[in-house]
Amino acid sequence: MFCLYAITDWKPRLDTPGHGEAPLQAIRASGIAAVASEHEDLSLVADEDALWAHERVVEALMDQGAVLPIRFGTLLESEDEVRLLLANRAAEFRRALDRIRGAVEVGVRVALRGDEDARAMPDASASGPGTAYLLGQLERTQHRGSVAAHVVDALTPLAREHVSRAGASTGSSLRSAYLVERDRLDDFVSRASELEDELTGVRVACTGPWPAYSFANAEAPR
Amino acid sequence: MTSAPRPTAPPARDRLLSGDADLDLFGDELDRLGGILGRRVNADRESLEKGLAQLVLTLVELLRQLMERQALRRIEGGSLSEDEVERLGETFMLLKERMDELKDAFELEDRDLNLDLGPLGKLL
Amino acid sequence: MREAQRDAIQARREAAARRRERQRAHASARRETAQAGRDARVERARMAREVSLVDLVDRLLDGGVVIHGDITLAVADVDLLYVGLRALVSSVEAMEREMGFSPTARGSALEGSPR
Repeated sequence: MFCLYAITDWKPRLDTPGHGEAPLQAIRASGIAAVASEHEDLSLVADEDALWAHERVVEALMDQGAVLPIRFGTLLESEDEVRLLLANRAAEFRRALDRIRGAVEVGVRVALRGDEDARAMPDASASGPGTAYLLGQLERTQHRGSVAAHVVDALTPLAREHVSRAGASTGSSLRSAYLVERDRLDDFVSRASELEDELTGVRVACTGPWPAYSFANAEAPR
Repeated sequence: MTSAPRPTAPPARDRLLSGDADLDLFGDELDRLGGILGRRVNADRESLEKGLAQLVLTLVELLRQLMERQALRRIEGGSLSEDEVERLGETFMLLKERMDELKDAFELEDRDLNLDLGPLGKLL
Repeated sequence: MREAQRDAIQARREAAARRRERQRAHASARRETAQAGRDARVERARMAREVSLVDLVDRLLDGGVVIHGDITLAVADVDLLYVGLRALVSSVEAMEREMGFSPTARGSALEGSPR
């Protein structure tokens, strides 16, 4: 069986080991290559070491050119199956590679200081505690919305695309991913840091550069 | 424009580009990491009961949040009377406090209810 | 009658506040033990690795090209019920976005008749 790591449309140098130190190979069809390692039997546990092993392979490719990262733990039975996959989805993969070529992914996290308690306390309003509670929640939601808008306005000019990460709609933090030109990475990160000073009670952290996991699929991700 | 090679390789497992990795802010997610990374489902009875409580309370919390969001939309849209707002607000507050009591009873924290389904992502 | 209800609400609120205070105290005690006797730099490095890991996990398990081969992950002993729940949440989020109800949408006023 073959464990798959990434898709390219150029010939990669494969000197990083895959899972269990297995050597990498490039399986090709229709001008597209899938980078894979072959195993007798592989049961992958999603632990820290295995995740970083996968990531190491994809990042080594990222250094060489545009790469579509494949979801962790993807296994196909045979080389034929891999070639069939490539033939069937070659056009999709080519479009996706064009979309991300020359760019990296940056994760942006915005945390709002928990003023939850202050807001939950009712003021001595004539309307009553229920109203105070809901108005407090409303204020919180609107504050989150305006912080999110401010962040997006500041950062989208410095990026090709952005998406918010799934599960970001509740809680006190916003998580999103930006597709940033390699040579604009420093500018982007600087601008993100400035946001902490521009917005009160807000903390911003960036992670990356990542391969374009959030932009690898043909449709806009969630 | 030119693809200059990276001057130094980044430290093996650190990808923080900027900001403080403040545990205060990201603590909940970090606590949940233990769940994703190879935790085995414990099938003894006590865990099953707690697991069931976790599931039920997560559903209730999910519905509560959805309904609260709906109510907030309607307040913004001005389609509720003052009395309706007050009654809805009290209901949500009571529901929230009842949830806290149930979480206490089952020794569940907020982070336990934000179920991480591994590849399927967070529920809430 | 309303008076008694309000007292009950107040009492519950105070209990909740005490509970939150306890949690905060625990969290701060945890931080203090973690930081006692440790170089602040080492601690920051550890936190940076942890946040990096969270983002890594999120991307590797929930991102990237999806290929419908065998996904042999040990965590995949997950009930079909959970799969259904996730689908429910996704479709509700999608519906909310479509109707302009996303909490992060700008200018969140409703359009058209709310009822």
